[in-house]
Amino acid sequence: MEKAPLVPDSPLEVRLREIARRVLRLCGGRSNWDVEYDFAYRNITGKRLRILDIGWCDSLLPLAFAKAGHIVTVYDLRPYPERHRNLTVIQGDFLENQLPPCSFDAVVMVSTIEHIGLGGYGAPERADADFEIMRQLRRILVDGGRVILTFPFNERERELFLNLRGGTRWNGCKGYLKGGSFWM
Amino acid sequence: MERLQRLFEGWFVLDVEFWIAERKLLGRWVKWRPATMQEAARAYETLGVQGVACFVLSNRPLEWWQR
Repeated sequence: MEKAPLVPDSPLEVRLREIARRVLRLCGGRSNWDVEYDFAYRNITGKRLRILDIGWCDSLLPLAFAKAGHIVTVYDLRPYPERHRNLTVIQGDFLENQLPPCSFDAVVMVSTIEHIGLGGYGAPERADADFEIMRQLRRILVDGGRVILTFPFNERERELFLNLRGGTRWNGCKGYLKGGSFWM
Repeated sequence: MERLQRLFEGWFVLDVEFWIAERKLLGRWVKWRPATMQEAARAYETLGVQGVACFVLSNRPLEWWQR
């Protein structure tokens, strides 16, 4: 499998996509990005939160949180081109992070976890890296901190490759809510 | 199911939503709607596009007055 270059979409592409998202919404429509974007917005409640965004440097969501007054750190293998006084960018593999414990109030992972550990974006392939990510999140989150997690959903677990840009893991969980309880 | 259960082990799920595509225009899905987990799980077979799952997790459960 050819490794994708570590180049994010250009700021122009990102802005055009954002305009398309807003226009579509004005017309009563929604894209899947809009659904995920909106979910993240709705569930980040509070003021001046310390937010970690992992792996979504192709979007303006981290910038929007920074503009809203939150203290945002973007962690991505690719560079994040946006700049703001509330925004810190760390380029690298999150699994190698040196972030201090209990340093974030919220973590946002929008359509990211299904790529983790599958060798996309130039990252090394690591089996069960998604579990390691969750362990890391537990370490860096404050008590009562939140993780906003969105991903494609399917009945069966499978792997496929998208446009050579990265692997994706479709986590299927038919019956997961069985009995109406998450913790049976 | 097993992978997600393992992934969320020790986490408290505060909120969950599932979404599926609803309307296509000029080859692009332009409208999505909330769905049940079962609908989202079958979306790829029925619509040709995967459903989306959205979770809010926390390392501490919500107190009853926070729900």
